Amino acid sequence: MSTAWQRTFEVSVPVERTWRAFTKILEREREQPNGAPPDPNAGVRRRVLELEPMRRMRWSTEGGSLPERCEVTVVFESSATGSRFTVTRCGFGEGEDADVFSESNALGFERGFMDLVLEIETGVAPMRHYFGVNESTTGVMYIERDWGLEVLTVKPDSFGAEVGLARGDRLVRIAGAAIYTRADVWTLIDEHEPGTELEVEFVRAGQLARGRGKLSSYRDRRVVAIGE
Amino acid sequence: MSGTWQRTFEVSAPIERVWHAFTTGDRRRAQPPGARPDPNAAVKLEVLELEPLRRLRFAQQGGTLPERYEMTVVFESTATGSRFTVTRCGFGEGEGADVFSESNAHGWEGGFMDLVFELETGYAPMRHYYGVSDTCTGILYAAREWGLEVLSVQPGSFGAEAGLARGDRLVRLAGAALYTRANVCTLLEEHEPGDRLEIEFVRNGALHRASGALSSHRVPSMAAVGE
Repeated sequence: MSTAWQRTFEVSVPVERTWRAFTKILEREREQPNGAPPDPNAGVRRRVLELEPMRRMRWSTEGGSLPERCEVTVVFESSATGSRFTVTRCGFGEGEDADVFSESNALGFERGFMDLVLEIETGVAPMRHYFGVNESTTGVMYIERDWGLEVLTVKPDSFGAEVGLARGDRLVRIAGAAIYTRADVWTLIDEHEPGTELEVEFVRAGQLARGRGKLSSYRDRRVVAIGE
Repeated sequence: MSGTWQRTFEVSAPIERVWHAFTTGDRRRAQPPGARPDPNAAVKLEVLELEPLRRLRFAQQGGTLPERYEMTVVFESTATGSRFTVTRCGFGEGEGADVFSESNAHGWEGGFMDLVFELETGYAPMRHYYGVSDTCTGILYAAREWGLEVLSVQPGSFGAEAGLARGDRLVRLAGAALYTRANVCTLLEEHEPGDRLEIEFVRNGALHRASGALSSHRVPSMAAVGE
Protein backbone atom coordinates (compact mmCIF):
# COMPACT_ATOMS: atom_id res chain seq x y z
CA MET A 1 0.00 0.00 0.00
CA SER A 2 1.15 3.56 -0.55
CA THR A 3 2.33 4.39 2.93
CA ALA A 4 2.77 7.74 4.61
CA TRP A 5 5.87 9.79 3.96
CA GLN A 6 7.45 11.92 6.66
CA ARG A 7 10.54 14.07 6.92
CA THR A 8 11.83 16.76 9.27
CA PHE A 9 13.78 19.74 7.95
CA GLU A 10 15.97 22.02 10.09
CA VAL A 11 16.12 25.66 9.02
CA SER A 12 18.51 28.35 10.33
CA VAL A 13 15.81 31.04 10.54
CA PRO A 14 13.15 31.78 13.20
CA VAL A 15 9.88 29.87 13.06
CA GLU A 16 8.03 33.07 12.00
CA ARG A 17 9.96 33.19 8.71
CA THR A 18 9.48 29.49 8.06
CA TRP A 19 5.74 29.82 8.74
CA ARG A 20 5.54 32.79 6.36
CA ALA A 21 7.27 30.83 3.60
CA PHE A 22 4.63 28.10 3.93
CA THR A 23 1.68 30.47 3.91
CA LYS A 24 3.14 31.92 0.69
CA ILE A 25 3.19 28.41 -0.80
CA LEU A 26 -0.50 28.03 -0.09
CA GLU A 27 -1.16 31.33 -1.86
CA ARG A 28 1.16 31.06 -4.84
CA GLU A 29 0.44 28.19 -7.16
CA ARG A 30 3.14 25.86 -8.48
CA GLU A 31 5.84 28.04 -9.98
CA GLN A 32 7.40 26.94 -13.24
CA PRO A 33 9.90 28.74 -15.43
CA ASN A 34 8.84 29.93 -18.90
CA GLY A 35 8.82 27.17 -21.48
CA ALA A 36 8.35 24.26 -19.06
CA PRO A 37 5.71 21.71 -20.08
CA PRO A 38 2.35 22.62 -18.49
CA ASP A 39 1.68 20.89 -15.18
CA PRO A 40 -1.32 18.53 -15.54
CA ASN A 41 -2.07 19.17 -11.86
CA ALA A 42 -2.08 22.95 -12.09
CA GLY A 43 -5.82 22.86 -11.49
CA VAL A 44 -5.70 20.45 -8.56
CA ARG A 45 -8.03 21.49 -5.76
CA ARG A 46 -6.21 22.31 -2.54
CA ARG A 47 -8.27 22.71 0.60
CA VAL A 48 -6.79 24.13 3.80
CA LEU A 49 -8.03 22.03 6.73
CA GLU A 50 -6.08 23.55 9.63
CA LEU A 51 -4.08 26.74 10.05
CA GLU A 52 -2.70 27.31 13.53
CA PRO A 53 -0.09 30.09 13.14
CA MET A 54 3.56 29.11 13.92
CA ARG A 55 2.39 25.65 14.98
CA ARG A 56 0.49 23.57 12.50
CA MET A 57 -0.90 23.52 9.00
CA ARG A 58 -2.89 20.82 7.23
CA TRP A 59 -4.24 20.71 3.70
CA SER A 60 -5.61 18.18 1.24
CA THR A 61 -5.34 17.94 -2.54
CA GLU A 62 -7.34 15.96 -5.06
CA GLY A 63 -8.11 15.89 -8.76
CA GLY A 64 -5.83 16.24 -11.79
CA SER A 65 -3.59 13.20 -12.29
CA LEU A 66 -3.56 12.38 -8.56
CA PRO A 67 -4.76 8.79 -8.07
CA GLU A 68 -6.69 9.73 -4.93
CA ARG A 69 -7.00 12.45 -2.34
CA CYS A 70 -3.88 13.09 -0.23
CA GLU A 71 -3.36 15.02 2.98
CA VAL A 72 -0.30 16.95 4.06
CA THR A 73 0.36 18.01 7.67
CA VAL A 74 3.20 20.36 8.59
CA VAL A 75 4.22 20.88 12.22
CA PHE A 76 6.44 23.88 13.07
CA GLU A 77 8.78 24.18 16.06
CA SER A 78 11.44 26.57 17.27
CA SER A 79 14.90 25.08 17.75
CA ALA A 80 18.18 26.21 19.31
CA THR A 81 19.51 27.20 15.86
CA GLY A 82 16.30 28.47 14.26
CA SER A 83 13.33 26.28 13.52
CA ARG A 84 12.27 22.97 12.13
CA PHE A 85 9.25 21.66 10.29
CA THR A 86 7.99 18.10 9.93
CA VAL A 87 5.96 17.18 6.87
CA THR A 88 3.67 14.14 6.90
CA ARG A 89 1.89 13.11 3.74
CA CYS A 90 -0.65 10.31 3.45
CA GLY A 91 -3.21 9.14 0.96
CA PHE A 92 -3.17 8.24 -2.76
CA GLY A 93 -5.02 4.95 -2.17
CA GLU A 94 -4.00 1.37 -2.82
CA GLY A 95 -2.48 -0.69 -5.61
CA GLU A 96 0.67 -0.75 -7.71
CA ASP A 97 -0.01 2.51 -9.59
CA ALA A 98 -0.74 4.34 -6.33
CA ASP A 99 2.44 2.93 -4.76
CA VAL A 100 4.59 4.15 -7.61
CA PHE A 101 2.89 7.54 -7.69
CA SER A 102 3.33 7.86 -3.94
CA GLU A 103 7.04 6.99 -4.10
CA SER A 104 7.71 9.38 -6.95
CA ASN A 105 5.63 12.12 -5.36
CA ALA A 106 7.58 11.73 -2.07
CA LEU A 107 10.86 12.34 -3.90
CA GLY A 108 9.31 15.37 -5.57
CA PHE A 109 8.07 16.73 -2.22
CA GLU A 110 11.44 16.08 -0.63
CA ARG A 111 13.16 18.05 -3.38
CA GLY A 112 10.58 20.82 -3.27
CA PHE A 113 11.06 21.26 0.49
CA MET A 114 14.87 21.17 0.15
CA ASP A 115 14.50 23.98 -2.41
CA LEU A 116 12.30 25.87 0.04
CA VAL A 117 14.91 25.58 2.84
CA LEU A 118 17.63 26.81 0.48
CA GLU A 119 15.46 29.76 -0.52
CA ILE A 120 14.56 30.64 3.08
CA GLU A 121 18.24 30.57 4.11
CA THR A 122 19.79 32.35 1.10
CA GLY A 123 17.04 34.33 -0.61
CA VAL A 124 17.75 32.47 -3.86
CA ALA A 125 15.07 30.16 -5.29
CA PRO A 126 17.19 27.43 -6.87
CA MET A 127 14.30 25.87 -8.87
CA ARG A 128 16.03 22.51 -8.89
CA HIS A 129 12.63 20.84 -8.83
CA TYR A 130 9.38 21.78 -10.53
CA PHE A 131 6.93 19.99 -12.76
CA GLY A 132 8.64 19.50 -16.12
CA VAL A 133 12.19 20.11 -14.83
CA ASN A 134 13.12 17.06 -16.90
CA GLU A 135 12.20 17.35 -20.56
CA SER A 136 13.42 13.79 -20.96
CA THR A 137 11.58 10.67 -19.93
CA THR A 138 12.25 6.94 -20.15
CA GLY A 139 8.64 5.72 -20.49
CA VAL A 140 9.43 3.13 -17.81
CA MET A 141 7.38 2.73 -14.65
CA TYR A 142 9.61 1.34 -11.93
CA ILE A 143 9.51 0.80 -8.18
CA GLU A 144 12.20 0.95 -5.50
CA ARG A 145 13.19 -2.34 -3.92
CA ASP A 146 15.84 -3.08 -1.29
CA TRP A 147 18.31 -3.98 -4.05
CA GLY A 148 17.43 -1.16 -6.50
CA LEU A 149 14.86 -0.41 -9.24
CA GLU A 150 12.51 -2.99 -10.70
CA VAL A 151 10.71 -2.40 -14.01
CA LEU A 152 6.91 -2.60 -13.75
CA THR A 153 5.69 -1.43 -17.15
CA VAL A 154 7.13 0.08 -20.34
CA LYS A 155 5.26 2.45 -22.67
CA PRO A 156 5.25 1.43 -26.37
CA ASP A 157 7.58 3.53 -28.59
CA SER A 158 9.45 4.92 -25.57
CA PHE A 159 13.15 4.87 -24.63
CA GLY A 160 12.42 1.83 -22.42
CA ALA A 161 10.76 -0.02 -25.30
CA GLU A 162 13.72 0.72 -27.63
CA VAL A 163 16.13 -0.58 -24.97
CA GLY A 164 13.98 -3.73 -24.77
CA LEU A 165 13.02 -3.49 -21.10
CA ALA A 166 10.17 -5.61 -19.72
CA ARG A 167 8.38 -6.16 -16.43
CA GLY A 168 10.61 -7.73 -13.77
CA ASP A 169 13.90 -6.47 -15.23
CA ARG A 170 16.33 -5.17 -12.61
CA LEU A 171 18.17 -1.98 -13.55
CA VAL A 172 21.93 -1.99 -12.88
CA ARG A 173 23.46 0.96 -14.74
CA ILE A 174 22.43 3.71 -17.14
CA ALA A 175 25.09 5.59 -19.14
CA GLY A 176 27.72 3.78 -17.06
CA ALA A 177 26.38 5.14 -13.75
CA ALA A 178 25.07 2.80 -11.03
CA ILE A 179 21.30 2.87 -10.54
CA TYR A 180 20.16 2.28 -6.96
CA THR A 181 17.22 4.67 -6.56
CA ARG A 182 14.65 6.72 -8.46
CA ALA A 183 16.82 9.78 -7.76
CA ASP A 184 19.66 8.25 -9.80
CA VAL A 185 17.41 7.99 -12.87
CA TRP A 186 16.15 11.54 -12.28
CA THR A 187 19.75 12.82 -12.25
CA LEU A 188 20.45 11.30 -15.66
CA ILE A 189 17.22 12.42 -17.34
CA ASP A 190 17.74 15.86 -15.81
CA GLU A 191 21.19 16.03 -17.39
CA HIS A 192 20.34 14.70 -20.86
CA GLU A 193 18.04 16.12 -23.56
CA PRO A 194 15.37 14.06 -25.29
CA GLY A 195 16.96 12.20 -28.21
CA THR A 196 20.22 11.49 -26.36
CA GLU A 197 21.21 7.85 -26.78
CA LEU A 198 22.03 6.05 -23.53
CA GLU A 199 23.01 2.48 -22.71
CA VAL A 200 21.10 0.55 -20.03
CA GLU A 201 22.44 -2.51 -18.21
CA PHE A 202 19.87 -4.73 -16.54
CA VAL A 203 19.51 -8.24 -15.19
CA ARG A 204 16.87 -10.64 -16.50
CA ALA A 205 16.69 -14.33 -15.57
CA GLY A 206 20.03 -14.10 -13.71
CA GLN A 207 21.91 -12.70 -16.71
CA LEU A 208 23.26 -9.22 -17.42
CA ALA A 209 21.76 -7.72 -20.58
CA ARG A 210 22.49 -4.45 -22.38
CA GLY A 211 20.32 -2.26 -24.57
CA ARG A 212 20.44 1.22 -26.05
CA GLY A 213 17.75 3.77 -26.74
CA LYS A 214 17.11 7.46 -27.33
CA LEU A 215 15.51 9.33 -24.44
CA SER A 216 11.86 10.18 -25.02
CA SER A 217 10.32 13.61 -24.57
CA TYR A 218 7.98 14.47 -21.75
CA ARG A 219 5.98 16.54 -24.24
CA ASP A 220 4.90 13.31 -25.96
CA ARG A 221 2.21 12.33 -23.45
CA ARG A 222 1.79 8.85 -25.01
CA VAL A 223 5.17 7.72 -23.65
CA VAL A 224 5.01 9.22 -20.16
CA ALA A 225 4.74 6.51 -17.49
CA ILE A 226 2.88 7.03 -14.21
CA GLY A 227 5.03 8.35 -11.44
CA GLU A 228 8.25 8.40 -13.39
CA MET B 1 29.16 14.09 15.73
CA SER B 2 29.39 11.42 13.08
CA GLY B 3 26.43 9.53 14.54
CA THR B 4 24.96 6.15 13.83
CA TRP B 5 23.80 4.78 10.51
CA GLN B 6 21.14 2.08 10.36
CA ARG B 7 19.17 0.40 7.62
CA THR B 8 17.05 -2.72 7.24
CA PHE B 9 17.10 -4.77 4.04
CA GLU B 10 14.44 -7.32 3.07
CA VAL B 11 15.66 -10.30 1.03
CA SER B 12 13.59 -12.93 -0.77
CA ALA B 13 16.03 -15.68 0.26
CA PRO B 14 16.13 -17.87 3.38
CA ILE B 15 18.09 -16.63 6.37
CA GLU B 16 20.68 -19.41 5.97
CA ARG B 17 21.75 -18.05 2.57
CA VAL B 18 21.94 -14.48 3.86
CA TRP B 19 24.02 -15.55 6.87
CA HIS B 20 26.27 -17.58 4.58
CA ALA B 21 26.84 -14.55 2.33
CA PHE B 22 27.95 -12.50 5.31
CA THR B 23 30.26 -15.09 6.80
CA THR B 24 31.92 -16.63 3.75
CA GLY B 25 34.99 -15.06 2.18
CA ASP B 26 35.87 -11.39 2.26
CA ARG B 27 33.29 -9.99 -0.10
CA ARG B 28 34.02 -6.38 0.79
CA ARG B 29 37.18 -6.46 -1.22
CA ALA B 30 35.85 -7.68 -4.56
CA GLN B 31 37.14 -5.27 -7.22
CA PRO B 32 37.20 -5.74 -10.99
CA PRO B 33 40.59 -5.80 -12.74
CA GLY B 34 42.00 -2.32 -13.37
CA ALA B 35 40.22 -0.68 -10.42
CA ARG B 36 42.33 1.55 -8.17
CA PRO B 37 43.76 -0.47 -5.29
CA ASP B 38 41.84 -0.03 -2.04
CA PRO B 39 44.12 1.68 0.53
CA ASN B 40 42.26 -0.20 3.28
CA ALA B 41 42.53 -3.64 1.68
CA ALA B 42 44.95 -4.75 4.42
CA VAL B 43 42.87 -3.35 7.29
CA LYS B 44 41.50 -6.43 8.99
CA LEU B 45 38.10 -6.99 10.53
CA GLU B 46 37.94 -7.86 14.18
CA VAL B 47 34.98 -10.18 14.76
CA LEU B 48 33.36 -9.38 18.10
CA GLU B 49 30.24 -11.57 18.03
CA LEU B 50 29.14 -14.43 15.83
CA GLU B 51 25.80 -15.95 16.79
CA PRO B 52 24.80 -18.08 13.78
CA LEU B 53 21.64 -16.98 11.92
CA ARG B 54 21.04 -14.26 14.51
CA ARG B 55 23.74 -11.69 15.04
CA LEU B 56 27.13 -10.60 13.78
CA ARG B 57 29.28 -7.80 15.12
CA PHE B 58 32.67 -6.63 13.93
CA ALA B 59 35.02 -3.67 14.23
CA GLN B 60 37.64 -2.14 11.98
CA GLN B 61 40.35 0.44 12.51
CA GLY B 62 43.50 1.73 10.81
CA GLY B 63 44.21 2.55 7.17
CA THR B 64 42.46 5.74 6.06
CA LEU B 65 39.64 5.28 8.59
CA PRO B 66 39.52 8.31 10.89
CA GLU B 67 38.80 6.13 13.95
CA ARG B 68 37.58 2.68 14.92
CA TYR B 69 34.01 1.84 13.99
CA GLU B 70 31.68 -1.04 14.83
CA MET B 71 29.08 -2.73 12.68
CA THR B 72 26.27 -4.90 14.05
CA VAL B 73 24.11 -7.04 11.76
CA VAL B 74 20.91 -8.64 13.08
CA PHE B 75 19.28 -11.41 11.01
CA GLU B 76 15.59 -12.42 11.10
CA SER B 77 13.30 -14.74 9.16
CA THR B 78 10.21 -13.21 7.53
CA ALA B 79 7.11 -14.46 5.70
CA THR B 80 8.83 -13.86 2.34
CA GLY B 81 12.41 -14.80 3.20
CA SER B 82 14.53 -12.84 5.63
CA ARG B 83 15.73 -9.42 6.62
CA PHE B 84 18.91 -8.01 8.06
CA THR B 85 19.44 -4.75 9.92
CA VAL B 86 22.87 -3.13 9.88
CA THR B 87 23.93 -0.56 12.48
CA ARG B 88 27.23 1.23 12.14
CA CYS B 89 28.73 3.56 14.71
CA GLY B 90 32.08 5.16 15.34
CA PHE B 91 34.56 7.25 13.32
CA GLY B 92 34.88 9.79 16.12
CA GLU B 93 34.09 13.49 16.23
CA GLY B 94 34.73 16.55 14.12
CA GLU B 95 34.04 17.76 10.60
CA GLY B 96 36.41 15.31 8.88
CA ALA B 97 34.87 12.35 10.70
CA ASP B 98 31.35 13.55 9.90
CA VAL B 99 32.04 13.72 6.19
CA PHE B 100 33.83 10.38 6.16
CA SER B 101 30.93 8.83 8.05
CA GLU B 102 28.37 10.23 5.62
CA SER B 103 30.29 9.09 2.57
CA ASN B 104 31.04 5.69 4.11
CA ALA B 105 27.32 5.15 4.89
CA HIS B 106 26.48 5.82 1.24
CA GLY B 107 29.11 3.26 0.24
CA TRP B 108 27.83 0.60 2.64
CA GLU B 109 24.28 1.20 1.47
CA GLY B 110 25.34 0.56 -2.12
CA GLY B 111 27.34 -2.49 -1.06
CA PHE B 112 24.43 -4.04 0.83
CA MET B 113 22.00 -3.29 -2.00
CA ASP B 114 24.43 -5.11 -4.31
CA LEU B 115 24.48 -8.04 -1.89
CA VAL B 116 20.66 -8.28 -1.84
CA PHE B 117 20.67 -8.08 -5.65
CA GLU B 118 23.15 -10.97 -5.84
CA LEU B 119 21.31 -13.11 -3.28
CA GLU B 120 18.06 -12.77 -5.23
CA THR B 121 19.35 -13.19 -8.79
CA GLY B 122 22.71 -14.97 -8.57
CA TYR B 123 24.27 -12.05 -10.43
CA ALA B 124 26.74 -9.71 -8.67
CA PRO B 125 26.03 -6.28 -10.17
CA MET B 126 29.25 -4.63 -8.84
CA ARG B 127 27.61 -1.21 -8.85
CA HIS B 128 29.71 -0.24 -5.86
CA TYR B 129 33.32 -1.11 -5.03
CA TYR B 130 36.37 0.88 -4.04
CA GLY B 131 37.46 2.80 -7.12
CA VAL B 132 34.19 2.30 -9.05
CA SER B 133 34.83 5.73 -10.54
CA ASP B 134 38.20 7.37 -11.20
CA THR B 135 36.51 10.73 -11.58
CA CYS B 136 36.39 13.21 -8.72
CA THR B 137 35.73 16.89 -8.06
CA GLY B 138 38.31 17.59 -5.34
CA ILE B 139 35.50 19.08 -3.28
CA LEU B 140 34.78 18.03 0.28
CA TYR B 141 31.13 18.64 1.01
CA ALA B 142 28.55 17.89 3.69
CA ALA B 143 24.89 16.94 3.16
CA ARG B 144 22.59 19.56 4.68
CA GLU B 145 18.80 19.79 4.83
CA TRP B 146 18.76 21.87 1.64
CA GLY B 147 21.57 20.04 -0.24
CA LEU B 148 25.38 20.00 -0.43
CA GLU B 149 27.62 22.58 1.25
CA VAL B 150 31.25 22.99 0.23
CA LEU B 151 33.69 22.48 3.13
CA SER B 152 37.04 22.55 1.35
CA VAL B 153 38.51 22.41 -2.14
CA GLN B 154 41.75 20.67 -3.19
CA PRO B 155 44.19 22.96 -5.06
CA GLY B 156 44.43 22.17 -8.78
CA SER B 157 41.15 20.22 -8.80
CA PHE B 158 37.86 20.66 -10.69
CA GLY B 159 36.50 22.48 -7.66
CA ALA B 160 39.45 24.91 -7.62
CA GLU B 161 39.17 25.59 -11.37
CA ALA B 162 35.44 26.31 -10.92
CA GLY B 163 36.38 28.75 -8.14
CA LEU B 164 34.41 27.03 -5.38
CA ALA B 165 35.07 27.95 -1.76
CA ARG B 166 33.94 26.94 1.70
CA GLY B 167 30.30 27.79 2.34
CA ASP B 168 29.17 27.64 -1.30
CA ARG B 169 25.88 25.84 -1.79
CA LEU B 170 25.83 23.49 -4.78
CA VAL B 171 22.73 23.66 -6.99
CA ARG B 172 23.39 21.88 -10.31
CA LEU B 173 26.19 19.94 -12.00
CA ALA B 174 26.07 19.33 -15.78
CA GLY B 175 22.54 20.76 -15.70
CA ALA B 176 21.30 18.11 -13.26
CA ALA B 177 19.95 19.10 -9.84
CA LEU B 178 22.21 18.32 -6.86
CA TYR B 179 20.43 17.42 -3.62
CA THR B 180 22.53 14.60 -2.18
CA ARG B 181 25.94 12.98 -2.30
CA ALA B 182 24.38 10.24 -4.45
CA ASN B 183 23.53 12.75 -7.18
CA VAL B 184 27.21 13.77 -7.49
CA CYS B 185 28.28 10.10 -7.53
CA THR B 186 25.90 9.37 -10.43
CA LEU B 187 27.37 12.16 -12.54
CA LEU B 188 30.99 11.28 -11.68
CA GLU B 189 30.44 7.64 -12.61
CA GLU B 190 29.02 8.71 -15.92
CA HIS B 191 31.85 11.11 -16.80
CA GLU B 192 35.58 10.60 -17.31
CA PRO B 193 38.36 12.68 -15.76
CA GLY B 194 39.02 15.64 -18.06
CA ASP B 195 35.35 16.10 -19.08
CA ARG B 196 34.34 19.74 -18.74
CA LEU B 197 31.18 20.24 -16.68
CA GLU B 198 29.28 23.33 -15.65
CA ILE B 199 28.50 23.79 -11.97
CA GLU B 200 25.93 26.18 -10.46
CA PHE B 201 26.14 27.33 -6.85
CA VAL B 202 24.78 29.97 -4.49
CA ARG B 203 27.18 32.37 -2.74
CA ASN B 204 26.21 35.56 -0.88
CA GLY B 205 22.60 35.27 -1.97
CA ALA B 206 23.31 35.06 -5.71
CA LEU B 207 23.44 32.21 -8.19
CA HIS B 208 26.83 31.68 -9.86
CA ARG B 209 27.91 29.54 -12.81
CA ALA B 210 31.39 28.20 -13.48
CA SER B 211 33.00 25.25 -15.20
CA GLY B 212 36.05 23.05 -14.88
CA ALA B 213 37.67 19.82 -16.06
CA LEU B 214 36.88 16.83 -13.81
CA SER B 215 39.80 15.54 -11.75
CA SER B 216 41.12 12.00 -11.34
CA HIS B 217 41.36 9.96 -8.13
CA ARG B 218 44.62 8.62 -9.56
CA VAL B 219 46.14 12.02 -8.78
CA PRO B 220 45.93 11.72 -4.96
CA SER B 221 46.48 15.44 -4.29
CA MET B 222 43.19 16.16 -6.08
CA ALA B 223 40.98 13.74 -4.21
CA ALA B 224 39.26 15.07 -1.11
CA VAL B 225 38.91 12.62 1.80
CA GLY B 226 35.39 11.27 1.96
CA GLU B 227 34.37 12.55 -1.44
